[in-house]
Amino acid sequence: MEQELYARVNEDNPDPRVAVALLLDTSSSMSGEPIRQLNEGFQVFCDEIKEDDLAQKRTEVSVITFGGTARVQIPFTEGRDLQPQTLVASGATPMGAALHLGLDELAAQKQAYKESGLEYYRPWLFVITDGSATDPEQLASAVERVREAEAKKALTCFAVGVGDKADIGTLAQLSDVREPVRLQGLSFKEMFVWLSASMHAVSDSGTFASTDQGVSDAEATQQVSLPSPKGWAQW
Amino acid sequence: MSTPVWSVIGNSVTGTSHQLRGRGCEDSFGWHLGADLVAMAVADGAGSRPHAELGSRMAVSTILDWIRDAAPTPDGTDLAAGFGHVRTALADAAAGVPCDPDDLATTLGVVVVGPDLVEVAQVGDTIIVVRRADGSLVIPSPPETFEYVNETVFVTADSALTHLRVDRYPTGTVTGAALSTDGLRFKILGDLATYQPYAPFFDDIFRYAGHEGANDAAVGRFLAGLDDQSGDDKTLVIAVSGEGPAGGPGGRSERRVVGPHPGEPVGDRASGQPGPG
Repeated sequence: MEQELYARVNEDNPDPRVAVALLLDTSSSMSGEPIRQLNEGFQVFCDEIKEDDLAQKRTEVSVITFGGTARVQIPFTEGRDLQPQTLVASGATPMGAALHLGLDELAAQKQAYKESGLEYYRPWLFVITDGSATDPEQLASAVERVREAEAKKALTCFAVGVGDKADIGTLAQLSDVREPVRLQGLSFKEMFVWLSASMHAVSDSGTFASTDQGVSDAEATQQVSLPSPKGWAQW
Repeated sequence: MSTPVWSVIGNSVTGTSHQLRGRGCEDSFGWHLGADLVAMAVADGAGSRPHAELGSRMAVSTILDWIRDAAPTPDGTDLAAGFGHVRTALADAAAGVPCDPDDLATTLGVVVVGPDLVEVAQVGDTIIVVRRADGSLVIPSPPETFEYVNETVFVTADSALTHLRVDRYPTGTVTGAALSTDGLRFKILGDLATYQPYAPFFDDIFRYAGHEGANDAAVGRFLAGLDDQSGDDKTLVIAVSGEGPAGGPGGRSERRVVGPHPGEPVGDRASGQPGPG
């Protein structure tokens, strides 16, 4: 009599990963409505990413805040396990330190992927600020590092300025490939919905490999179409 | 007195990334159950090459023919010569197409059970696991690691024979062998970095293969039901030794070689009929 084959398999997640370092300004100027909207927006992001089959396994998110100090608020976490935290605004704006921290985190995560035999998409460095950095020396060296990394195609940098006092000039220096955008009002929710949809687009593509060169090669043969940011961004 | 009798089941399913690109299965597998020798083979045609399916099918049928005609010695068979023979056959087949021999690029993994020795020989990233009499599992020499996760050595490469990995075990100590191509690596290895088997999987399949009702079609359904993360073709061959009729020579003369034919749905292959040579 014929018998079916049932066998246990390794359920670990071997999917290729896109690492996203979210650098969020939580300086005192973000107090009140801005930080409230930012928190609600991030909550939406956590919900949306869990509803996407691919993105929830392929996206790994780290949240780094800079308000007073720069710190890793959430270490790299798979989308399916990502839990929001309520961020509090206070202190100055050590954006330079945050950029260094974000770059270090992304480099370490990429190395971890290589050591585990995982493939990866080009990682994202996503910076949001409503002011100017208060650590100019750190900032200068950090901007250099980001520019160099993007030129080598080691990462993709997105920069968003919030409000009238955002230092768009400095944000513009971070990337030769992409201009910074301004957030329309406090439309953080729309921005995070866009970010989650973008993670879906990346996760659904074949632009992953086990080396930076491999990722570049893959990107040469297929474009990843990101959704339009018109709902929340202005130039 | 009884002689161990080996029985073998196996199947392949086409990977989703192959289907998306309009290609069929490029894995092949087969076995030969003879009176003196039992042999199993799996091969994975290189996905980027135009005649990969021909390469993998020829590699399996050629090595099984060669083993069938080989005279085993207490030191085993000369598998390096066998792989050399496969390379010649692939080069001849390429000349017949005509195409470059690299267009038939394929990996090849073989297990030969002789009277004295079990031999495992591999070129490329085939996955072979041997079960010992005490139930423990051993992975023979793992493949070299390369900078690119998907990079491997093919039988058609000039340097193939320098990359041939051969391992030997006394026949009496081995009670099972499982062969697969790299499409199953995420599911059946516990740790990709150290290439250790995921023990629960192998415990389960060896136990299954020992049942009277074990069959090829069920292996095919199992493979088809796996959550397909690699997109690769998936192949699994499971061989176990059991008690044979008292006093007689082990084995029945059965031969099976299954390789992709253009347009042939994989499901039709699990019929249990001996395939074309």
